[in-house]
Amino acid sequence: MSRQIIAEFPFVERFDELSAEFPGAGLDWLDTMRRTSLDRFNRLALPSTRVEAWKYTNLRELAKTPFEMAEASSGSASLDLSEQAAMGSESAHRLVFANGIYNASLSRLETLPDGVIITNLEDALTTHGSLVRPHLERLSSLEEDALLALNTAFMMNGYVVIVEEGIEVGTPIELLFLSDPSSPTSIHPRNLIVAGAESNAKLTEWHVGSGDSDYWSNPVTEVVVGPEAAVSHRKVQRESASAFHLAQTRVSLAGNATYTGFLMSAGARLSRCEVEARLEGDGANCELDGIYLARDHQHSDITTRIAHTEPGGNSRQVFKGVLDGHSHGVFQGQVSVSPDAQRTDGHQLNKTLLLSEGAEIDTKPELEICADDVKCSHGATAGQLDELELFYLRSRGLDAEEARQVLIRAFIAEVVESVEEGDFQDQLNTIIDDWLSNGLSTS
Amino acid sequence: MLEIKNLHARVDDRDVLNGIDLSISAGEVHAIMGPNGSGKSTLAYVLAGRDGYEVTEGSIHYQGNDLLDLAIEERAREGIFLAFQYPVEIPGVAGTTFLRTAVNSLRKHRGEKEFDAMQFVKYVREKQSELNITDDMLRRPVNVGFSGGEKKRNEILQMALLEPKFAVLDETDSGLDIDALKTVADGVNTLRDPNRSMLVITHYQRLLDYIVPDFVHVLAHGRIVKSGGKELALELEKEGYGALTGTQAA
Ligand SMILES: Nc1ncnc2c1ncn2[C@@H]1O[C@H](COP(=O)(O)OP(=O)(O)OP(=O)(O)O)[C@@H](O)[C@H]1O
Ligand SMILES: [Mg+2]
Repeated sequence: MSRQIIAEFPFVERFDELSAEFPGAGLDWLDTMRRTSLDRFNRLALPSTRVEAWKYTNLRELAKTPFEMAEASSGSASLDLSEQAAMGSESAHRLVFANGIYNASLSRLETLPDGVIITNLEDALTTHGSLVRPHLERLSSLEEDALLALNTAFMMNGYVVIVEEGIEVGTPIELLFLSDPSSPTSIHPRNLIVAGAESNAKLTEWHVGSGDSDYWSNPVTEVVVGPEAAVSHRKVQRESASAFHLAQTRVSLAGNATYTGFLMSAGARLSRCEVEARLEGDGANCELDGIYLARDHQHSDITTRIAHTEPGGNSRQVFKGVLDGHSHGVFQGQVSVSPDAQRTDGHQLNKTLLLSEGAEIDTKPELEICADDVKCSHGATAGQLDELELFYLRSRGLDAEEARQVLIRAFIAEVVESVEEGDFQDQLNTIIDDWLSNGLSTS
Repeated sequence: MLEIKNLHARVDDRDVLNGIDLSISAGEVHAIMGPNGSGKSTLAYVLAGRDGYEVTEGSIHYQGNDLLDLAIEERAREGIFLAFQYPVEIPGVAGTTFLRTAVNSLRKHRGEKEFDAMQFVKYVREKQSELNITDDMLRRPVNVGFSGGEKKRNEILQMALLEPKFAVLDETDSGLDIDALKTVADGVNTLRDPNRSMLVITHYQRLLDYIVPDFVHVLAHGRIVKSGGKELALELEKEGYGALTGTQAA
């Protein structure tokens, strides 16, 4: 078996024709970057399970699907917008992308304070090109990653949030990615968050699909957190039951910066949420928490890489998953500490509840520590519901299903409670209740 | 109310109950005593319906129906309650939430309106203070970090809230200090009722001074080897189980 999966995606073959419509088409630097990235993708191809980082997540089925590109005309797709009621809050800034295309009429931008840019990538390239360009170029030249290269070649719209030094964006920012294409479609959002020194912003991304529409979402998000700045970045993944979701978030943190990431991954047929955080300044803090829920034949992969390169950094990760049916969970958590990163504090915990015989988790914590004065720990457990606890609850009159639900909620509660109390916590509980009420297998 | 005939039960391929006959009428309190490992808790679990406690022979009828046909929660809803010898800790589930869910599932079964949070607090408050259970204990996760005595009091609180018809108390007295023993016994006595029966498992005659039984049985090697009135407990306290179990072995 080769290290590559060769796919012949129709949209890739139509690059020349499609590229005229891409955001920023005609900007030389961007056209060149797209072209270089396309060549890179064609050279790299999709990774097979022979590649260590992809050992547990197989892209073969993805490679077989004849994906096309979302076109401007499909941006007004008849999304079930009642779903939106369950997302976000009334008072937030909101950008909406329908099948990857920016939808101005559904978006809503409250008056923005000076020093805050919240916009879509296409507009940002025209009006703030010099702010955006260095970030796009840096990330795109960085490494040999096929999916990153593909995203760069085909990047569609996405959100851009830039907060200047010292500014606090009080109002939360919501980014809605809604998808329901009628034929297999690939969507490549490119997002950018730049928080200047001592600034503060809170963002929540919702990736939601309807029914079982067939699509592949391949978002790349770059997050740059300046000195003493704080970014809270939450994400909910509830793609359609037939969707593929392969997301990468690349975070860099300056001195004393704080990034608080939260992930709820519950949808898609196959998903991989990859987060890389580089603590590149003294005393940077990174907190990543998350929940993954999967049933039937869903595949849910959470991959994190935390790199401590400077002294005094803290990172803390808690991921909990519940797997039912024949679902397959993957947790890969890498924490590396460079020789210079003394006094690093790095902790990671992964716990999975397996509700059925057919459910499976592959968990691979990896610590690479090259400094001596560090405190690092990792723990991973996988287990079933406790028979005695179930018996105790049922002996008090709860039926078997209720008792299981009570214990599952209790298992995840710690992670839900790690987010600030309020709308988002309620929304997480609603997602969990929804998931539970779809029925658990009885084994 | 409860009729056990020739009950044999097996746990993990081990025969633990070897032919128990016991009949309990409405309003009666029966005590079961017996050496460690004689099968007392096993009997309690079989009555509550725990998985893995397989009845290989015999029958149990409860209010005229075959008890063994009912699932664990159906038994609870029909009024069977087990106060556990070792109450189970449930991390992540707040005590009040647990109690309210339990009470409401029984109320629903009886066709009564479920309590909302406020109504429930009112309902619990009185019984809670009788048993010296603080609000703080109820806010914490079920039994987590409770002392032995607190766990036992919490079991009796559950019994008081669920108002069973047939209650099994498995060593509810062990681990209690003298005052707590009195509190718990008072709690139990309040629940004595012509329509409610109890099976009290204990090692100590002292509990039976407070909760005076109508009958006392001695269980050894999974069988009832002797039955009598409340004075049997005194006798056992003096002479131990030696003579009885010896007879059994011969
Ligand atoms: N799950 C099990 N697997 C194997 N043996 C078991 C199991 N549960 C109980 N037993 C055995 O069955 C016997 C009866 O146990 P049981 O707990 O009913 O005793 P008991 O009378 O309640 O004792 P104690 O007074 O110590 O509480 C013991 O010998 C015990 O080891
Ligand atoms: Mg016992």
